[in-house]
Amino acid sequence: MPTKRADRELVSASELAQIGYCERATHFDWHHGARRTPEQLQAQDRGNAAHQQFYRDSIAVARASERKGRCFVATLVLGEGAATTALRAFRDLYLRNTAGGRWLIGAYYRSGPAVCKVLSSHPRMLQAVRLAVLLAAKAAAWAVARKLSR
Amino acid sequence: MSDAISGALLLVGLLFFATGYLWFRGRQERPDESWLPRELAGGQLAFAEKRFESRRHGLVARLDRAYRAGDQLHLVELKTRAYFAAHVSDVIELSVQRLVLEEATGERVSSVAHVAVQLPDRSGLRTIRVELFDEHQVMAMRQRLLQLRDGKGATPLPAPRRKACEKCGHRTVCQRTYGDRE
Repeated sequence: MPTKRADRELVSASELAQIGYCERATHFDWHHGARRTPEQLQAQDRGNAAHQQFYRDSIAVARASERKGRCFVATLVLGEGAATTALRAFRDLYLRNTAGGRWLIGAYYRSGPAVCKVLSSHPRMLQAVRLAVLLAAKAAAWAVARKLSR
Repeated sequence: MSDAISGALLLVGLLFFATGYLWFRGRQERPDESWLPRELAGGQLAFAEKRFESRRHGLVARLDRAYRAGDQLHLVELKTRAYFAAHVSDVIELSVQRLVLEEATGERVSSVAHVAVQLPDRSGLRTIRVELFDEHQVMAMRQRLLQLRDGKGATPLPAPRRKACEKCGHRTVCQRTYGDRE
């Protein structure tokens, strides 16, 4: 059993992951200090550079997410679920890639709240729109699946 | 006449610059997420390069990305590899991330995570779906690690893949101690 001090010790994910790589290396690292070969150091540098780029991309993704906002009409008529997610994925994978698509997204977010207001007071119209949006969501899901399976 | 030509050239230059700027800005603002696995498409990036810890478990982890999709969080870990594969070490790392993230946020974290592999040819990311270890398994591994450090418990096992020894900095001392890996 580990000591009480060791029980309180914070173990990092990468330290623990090393026992999946090699328990002996874990033992030697702890007792003799980490010894890295030039190949390992090179791989580590490459990994660090890739992680920095990945983080820069993450910031861009987060900024884009901030601008995404809510899918007003889709959420009103379908609620949060697989169909709404499919429409969002279609927006991100297809529409966001072209100037026309981005204009369409902007127009949708500008008019969305007003359309929702009208739909909320006209239940019959809401039913008809629900059917149309559901069909659009099915088409979007198909297009997204096609793009992702490429 | 020459003034008119200069004016026209200046206008064309300005238009050219403005188009180039808008194109460049559009490219910068459009991060590529086409590599994301199907279940994360349309999801929202919830955390990136963020450190979480759980005092209760005695674990700490820095996660690369976590997406919110459906009613739970999904983990994505970036790995640069010379080949397209995920290892047990990736699964352990992600399993720890799952525990500490659940503890810190109170949100459900999916038991399936994704390893995004970047190959040296920079052909873009490709993901591998992995099933994570549960809390009991992770805590048993933590216990094992502490025993290895203290030199207690069973003898440390060698790397499951012999190829891993080729690049190991402890190769000489390992061979001298155990004599079973050349």
